[in-house]
Amino acid sequence: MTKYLVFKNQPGSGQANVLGSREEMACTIAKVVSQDALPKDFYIAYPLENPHSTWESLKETAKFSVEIDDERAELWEKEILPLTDLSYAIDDAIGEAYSAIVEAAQALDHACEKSKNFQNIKVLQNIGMDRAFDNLEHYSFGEISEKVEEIFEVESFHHHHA
Amino acid sequence: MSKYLVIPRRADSPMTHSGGSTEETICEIAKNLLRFPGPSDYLMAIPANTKVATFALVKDDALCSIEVTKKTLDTWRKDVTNIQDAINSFQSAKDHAETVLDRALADLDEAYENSTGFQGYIPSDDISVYGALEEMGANDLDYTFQRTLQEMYKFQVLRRQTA
Repeated sequence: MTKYLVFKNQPGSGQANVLGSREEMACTIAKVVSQDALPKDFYIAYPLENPHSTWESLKETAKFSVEIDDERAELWEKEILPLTDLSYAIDDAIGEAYSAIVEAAQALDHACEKSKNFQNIKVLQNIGMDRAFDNLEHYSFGEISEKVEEIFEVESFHHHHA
Repeated sequence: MSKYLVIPRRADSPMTHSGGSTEETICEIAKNLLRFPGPSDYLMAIPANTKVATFALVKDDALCSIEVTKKTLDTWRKDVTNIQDAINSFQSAKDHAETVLDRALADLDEAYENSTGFQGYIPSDDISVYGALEEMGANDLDYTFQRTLQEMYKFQVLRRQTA
């Protein structure tokens, strides 16, 4: 079992996790747990080789710690990653649906506005687009996030700076 | 204001309305308001004050009556077609969104079901694609538009179409 510390990768640091590495896995796990949409190299992870000597000092700046072993890594690859991808696909589908529907509603609104007899039909005012899409928020990602936090014993460190 | 009756055109009838005629436009209006499934040239418009119209009424052939003026015909040709096309595009966008979301949710449901660590949770239980998009009230919009057209053309259904 290896504990990884996940740090915010400073912009322009030129550092990135190696593709397919456990470090990269630890960063993706941290992103799943935080449920934030973050760019690819937003985090960078390092294994904590010597917990006794460095733990106290490192955790001052680390954002997360993640525990990974072979069994958990396999679970991540085979089961959790496909689930998160499918969950992201739903968010993408919702985003695309919103854009397409807004565009069509704007075209309809424009057609009514240009007409002589149907200017009273205010499409964008009458269609409850935001209300409908609020209802479309889905929660599967929250489910995945909670489980991932538990399985990988993720600890989040909140630093309060004056 | 001129009143017309709209009847189904016999399949073997050689008569068709000429392009751009009042009768042709009335058949398009009737197709829209009746939600007639076939093309508009499966319909015929006849002036209501003719013997043919009386005969159609006696035979219970007339599907609907429609009243037009030069202005309302102009409205149909210039405004309504554009708006109807935009409504259809809007409905298509909504239908497409429902299909894509439904498929994505079904894939996620299946992945959860086949997983070892995540069974017991069904993502689609937490989200109703159809219910959510109905909330937009697009059907109300279409209804309002159709009602406005029905009033404008003094549309009256005379005989229900049989399936």
